[in-house]
Amino acid sequence: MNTSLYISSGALQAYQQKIDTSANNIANVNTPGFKRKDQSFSEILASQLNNQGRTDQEVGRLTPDGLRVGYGTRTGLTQLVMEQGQAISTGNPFDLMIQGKGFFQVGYPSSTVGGADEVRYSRDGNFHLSPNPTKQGSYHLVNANGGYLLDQNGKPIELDGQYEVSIDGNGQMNLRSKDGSGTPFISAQQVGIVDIQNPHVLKNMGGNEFSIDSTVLPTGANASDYVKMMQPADVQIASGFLEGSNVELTKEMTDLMTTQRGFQMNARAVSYADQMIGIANGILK
Amino acid sequence: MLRGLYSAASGMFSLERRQETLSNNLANAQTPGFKKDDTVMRAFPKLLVERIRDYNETIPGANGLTIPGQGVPVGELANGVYAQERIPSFLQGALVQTDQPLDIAIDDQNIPLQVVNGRTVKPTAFFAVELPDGSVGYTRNGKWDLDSNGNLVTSDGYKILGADHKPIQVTSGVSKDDLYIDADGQLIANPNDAANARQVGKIGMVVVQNPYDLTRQGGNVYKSENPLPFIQDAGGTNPGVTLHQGYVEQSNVDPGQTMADMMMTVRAYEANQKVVSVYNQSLEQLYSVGKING
Repeated sequence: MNTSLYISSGALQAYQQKIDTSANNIANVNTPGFKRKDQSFSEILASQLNNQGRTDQEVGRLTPDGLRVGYGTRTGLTQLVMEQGQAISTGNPFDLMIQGKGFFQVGYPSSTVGGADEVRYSRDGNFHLSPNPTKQGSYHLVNANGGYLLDQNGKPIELDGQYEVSIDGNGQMNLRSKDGSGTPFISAQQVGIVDIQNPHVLKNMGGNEFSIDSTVLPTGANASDYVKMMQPADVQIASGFLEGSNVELTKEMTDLMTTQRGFQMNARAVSYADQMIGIANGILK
Repeated sequence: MLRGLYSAASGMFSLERRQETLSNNLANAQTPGFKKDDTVMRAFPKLLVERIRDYNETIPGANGLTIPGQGVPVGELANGVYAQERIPSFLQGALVQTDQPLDIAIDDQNIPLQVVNGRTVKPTAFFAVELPDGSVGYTRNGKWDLDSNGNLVTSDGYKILGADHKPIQVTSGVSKDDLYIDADGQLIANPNDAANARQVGKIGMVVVQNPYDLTRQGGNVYKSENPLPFIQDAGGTNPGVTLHQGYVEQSNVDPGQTMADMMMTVRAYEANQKVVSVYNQSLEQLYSVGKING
């Protein structure tokens, strides 16, 4: 039995996963609102062997009796890093950037008849106007995946085509008639920004969106317990900007480099283990 | 009596053990808070070798007694080698900035040395965690997160114990970005917001006077046979332990050194194999001597 072969090949798997994570981060270096993932390693099992039964003869030991052997490494935590990405000025009034905490709520109509609408959470503020199919002259704000931006009550934001819209710093929408008549007023709907108390419960849904992972919630808890609607005073939104990805290419490349070297060294260790088996085989030629 | 054959074979076996340790160190070269192991080889307990006395042999000065067939000591012979123990090295690992709110690194370089059983050892500081069976483990892994219940956990899922020996739970309304951890381990929520600032808990720290008494449990955790006092408890000490939030303590494995050691281990293994092969060749010769009509 050559344990070092299994230790090193198991480590190769963990290092490969870290390279995969870095690759995904680098691939999304230009994705608006993307939050990078940070992967760390963790030690796995250890067991105790008692290879010398006569412990009274084990003089001069520093450690307790027995031999404790470790069995390598595995992927520990893959954390979502919520650091702010840099601001990208686009000039499009419906490009929104959250400064500080919070997520946009994005609603999708349920595919099952009568089912509850699905809500996902995103930091990607790339929204555009889309005509409301059920009402002439009315528009929704939708994102690149076709999800509706929701307001403070969880309803899709609806804009009337006759008004000019500007979104202010706390998510309120100022409306003004396009022909200049009437006084400007504030819409009853505002961009609903939610704070997710514990990002641990978020599940990556792809398309730059997250949903609450109901499988990790403690028994008796609802997804809604983890989502808090932020008050307009606490919300900071910049209209005309997109939040860039928070991936730093230099950091990712250095990470990738050290991980790749770690991978190589463990591959070499596999080769050493193999050589040792070969040597043992060579006793009898 | 092919004593050397067994010596060489035991050499191969213990070198395999050393290679295992080196592989495990190398695999964990990037595991936060990992402490490398060093293998100590020891000769098997020595044998007293005797020869059989000739019948007409006399020993000068020993009354001239001759008893044929009695044993006469020749000397000691160590018969083989085995991997006796693995000594963890509790050297401080390098601190690396990560800016993650729940990355905590221990800096315990300023703990004064201490003499235990005539040996000078360096006491080592650890975080205390609750293991799944309810017992207390000690870890240097400062890569933490909140689980879905709001408990502070290590990346292996063990709950961090507070100074009150209970798991630290961060209540709802506080996200991990709002947590500030000072050098003594006080957890303060919303530190910049005077109205909402409050203390959430205090990290339970343990200074182990003789860290070699700890046993490795895997999952970055060590255990002690006797419960150890937290530094806040009576009898606990806290000399020179500082915590750093936003930093991670790297593993203290030196990959270059480990690779060189592995290479040497393979070569030493090969040399032992040669010895076994030579014995095999001698046996072959012996066999051919006895051959008739060969």
